[in-house]
This record gives sequence, structure tokens and C-alpha cells, in this order.
Amino acid sequence: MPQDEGLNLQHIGLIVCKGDACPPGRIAAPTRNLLSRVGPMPGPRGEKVVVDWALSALVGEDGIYWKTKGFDDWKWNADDAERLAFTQWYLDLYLPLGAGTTVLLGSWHTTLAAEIGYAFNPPNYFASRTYAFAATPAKHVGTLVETRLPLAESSGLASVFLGVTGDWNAVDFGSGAGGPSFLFGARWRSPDMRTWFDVETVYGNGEDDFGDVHVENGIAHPRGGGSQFLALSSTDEYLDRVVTSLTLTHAVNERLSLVFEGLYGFQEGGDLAPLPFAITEDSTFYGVNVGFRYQLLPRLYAGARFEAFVDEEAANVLWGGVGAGGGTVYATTLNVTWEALPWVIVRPELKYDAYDGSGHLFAPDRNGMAQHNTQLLGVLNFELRF
Amino acid sequence: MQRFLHFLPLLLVTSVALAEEPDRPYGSLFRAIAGDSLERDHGIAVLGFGHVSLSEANHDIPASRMPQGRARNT
Repeated sequence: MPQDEGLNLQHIGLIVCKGDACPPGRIAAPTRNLLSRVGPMPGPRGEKVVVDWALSALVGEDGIYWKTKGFDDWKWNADDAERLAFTQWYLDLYLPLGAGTTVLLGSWHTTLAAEIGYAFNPPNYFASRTYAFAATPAKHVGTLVETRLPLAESSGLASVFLGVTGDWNAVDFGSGAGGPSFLFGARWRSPDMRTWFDVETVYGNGEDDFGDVHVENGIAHPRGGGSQFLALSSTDEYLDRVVTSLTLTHAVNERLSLVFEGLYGFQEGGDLAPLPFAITEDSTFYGVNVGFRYQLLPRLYAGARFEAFVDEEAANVLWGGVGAGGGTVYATTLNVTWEALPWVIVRPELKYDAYDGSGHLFAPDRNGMAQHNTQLLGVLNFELRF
Repeated sequence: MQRFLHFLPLLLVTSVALAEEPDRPYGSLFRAIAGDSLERDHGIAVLGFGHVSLSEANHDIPASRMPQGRARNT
């Protein structure tokens, strides 16, 4: 996906939503004791069935990452830098079952990993994203059922969830021996809600769910959607893919917040390699990152994030697609967040990446092949809220 | 640069709307245009969001496939 340095419209978008399907805290405080993908909230179980919903869309350079294969990965705008994507559309039900239960049905951002799909700050404190985020699905089409566990108040708040979805970032359930993907995990919150712990896993068939490409005048344009792992089997064999994320956040006090994230993933290799980055060996990728954010003044924050991430076989197309052969990347990110106006957040950010491994990972040349093993990036990000 | 000028009217309307309720930026544009009855009476909101970034790297990057290195922020 060619992108130039300089000024970029990453996206501009709208969310039309009802009730607790709206991003929590943006319009009103949550009214449920359990929010889909967010987890348990303080308060008693509701006694009514509640039907909420949301629909969101955006246009911009980020559009390619939020398209759904088989739904809005249109050919007609595959050569546009700024594309339209319907990022989410779902029903969000609350049921007075057990200690409180939610059902999400439709197309929705994944629950995996510390950083979330919504472009909001908080919880996404940084303008850039982690390597862990780049190794997980962006969204799912399917259903997610989450239920709160009846813990004693002194033991904190907890919930478990199970989802049945299609392929990563796709509306279908795979080809050949393909079947649904499964999401499952658990969440725990301390009684004072200052410590959050989440363990989340997605498991399914990773065979043939790579995003499609549209070729025009001899140039291949990714259409968006699909996974970032190209694994193919000549016999439609089921190729296991699993990704597990573990997230721990803690608010030390009103000013200082900490985050730790660990991620492990595996993709079984296939037996076809139509492209150099196709995965023909069993591949493992894993990493950790830690970060903090500190409030300097009422509308001014400073943050830092440190990452180490290993992709042993460069399974991710973001690695293999630029000629990397597998290795470890280290990254340090520093930023300042200034709420300059109610509708504008300004974030100057510096990110330094260093890659140790086979081939190169940064600064692809016009032939698409990376040329360097380090990269220093400066970003001046403006978040608009309207 | 011209593409960003398309959003200037939107920002002007938003800034006027926010002058009245600076603590509620999300949905301010829609409320300024259509009122707040949909949100108040039915709990339905129309929220706007966007990200614009100025990026510069130490290498000359004609093309990048590293979204997390390019201020990807959806």
C-alpha cells in the first residue's frame, strides 16, 4: 500500500449508535454491568433485555485496513489511496441471564490485544501502533457471547466470552476445509477498577484467507480485508492459526497509567508458494510491550512505549512482503498528548525501530524491498472529535 | 492539501457547536445541525472522528508496508 511521507488524511468517519453500543464514555456512562469486548462494569444486573446497535464507516488511507473481505473490498477503488470502509455494523444485546450477558452480532472490531480498533484516545495513547496490533485480526463477522461471572464483590469483577466468526477480516467462513474461527477468553477487574487483566485467543483455519488483489494495467492493488498471513494448501488442508493476547493495565494513581501486553501466535505452513512470502513452514511469532502515560498538566500528557517482537519466519506479510526473512524488532515510542481544543488532540510522537534478523524490514524501495534495519519516524498527529 | 480544505466547513460548524458544550465534543456537529432530541429521547448518537498526521522518517520512503510505522490510527 503506497503511502507518501508528509501530510496524510488517515481517516474521517462517523459512528451512528444507540445506547451502550456507543463507545463508552463518549456520550454517557455505561448503564450495563457488562459491556461487549470491554468487560464487566460495576453495578447490579439489569433486569431488561436491551437492544442496542452501531454502524460506523470511514474514508481515508486507513480504509484498506478496515475493509471486510467479501463485503466492501471493492475493485472500483482498489487503486485509491483514500478508501471508504464500513468498519462496523452490529447488534449489541444485553440479556438478564446469569449475572449479566451480552451478545454481539454482526461485523465488529476484534477484542484482541491492548490497542483497540476505535480511533479514540484513550485508550489508544499513541499515534502509531504496536507490532502486536499488526499481528492480530482487525475485525470479525459473526457473534460474540460474553457473560459475567458471579464473583464476590471483594474478589473483583470477571467475565468470560466465546465467539464464532468467519475468517479474519472477512465475511466468509473460508474455502475447502475451512470452518469458523473461535474467539475465547476471560477478563478480570480489581474491585476499585484500577487493574484490568485480559486473556484473549482466536483459533481457526488459516488456509486461504489472505486479502484479494485487483490487477489493473499490470499493477497489483490490495483490495483490503483478509488476513496478513498467506498460507495455502493444494488439498485444502486445515492449517491451524492461533493468536493469544495477554493484557495487564494498572492505574497507579489519577496521573499515571501502566500497560503490559504479551502476544503469541502460530501459523501452520502450507504446501503452495505462489508468492515469495507465502508460509510453507510452521511459523511462530510473539512479543511483549510495556508502556505508560503520565499526566503533566490538566490537558497535557507524556507517554512512552517499549516493544520487542519476534516473527521467526517473517510470516506476517508486513515482514515477508518487504523481503525480511525473520528476526526480532525492537521499538521505542515517545509522545506528548495535548488536548489543545475540545475537538482537537495534538500528539507529537517519535518512534525508533531496530530490526535484527534476515533481510531488511524498513524503508521499502520502489521495488517494494526494504533497504534498512533501523528507522526513526516523527509524527505530528491531530485527532479530531466532532 | 486541497483535500483537507473540504473539511473546513465541518470544522467551523463544529467549533461553533462546541463553544456551547466544550465537554461533549463527540456528536457536537450532528447536534448543531439536527438538535439533540434524537440523542436525548432515544439514546441514538452520531459521532464524528478523524485523524490527520504529518509524518517524516529518516529514510526516503517512496512506499511503505509498515502501517504501524506510518501513524496508522484507525
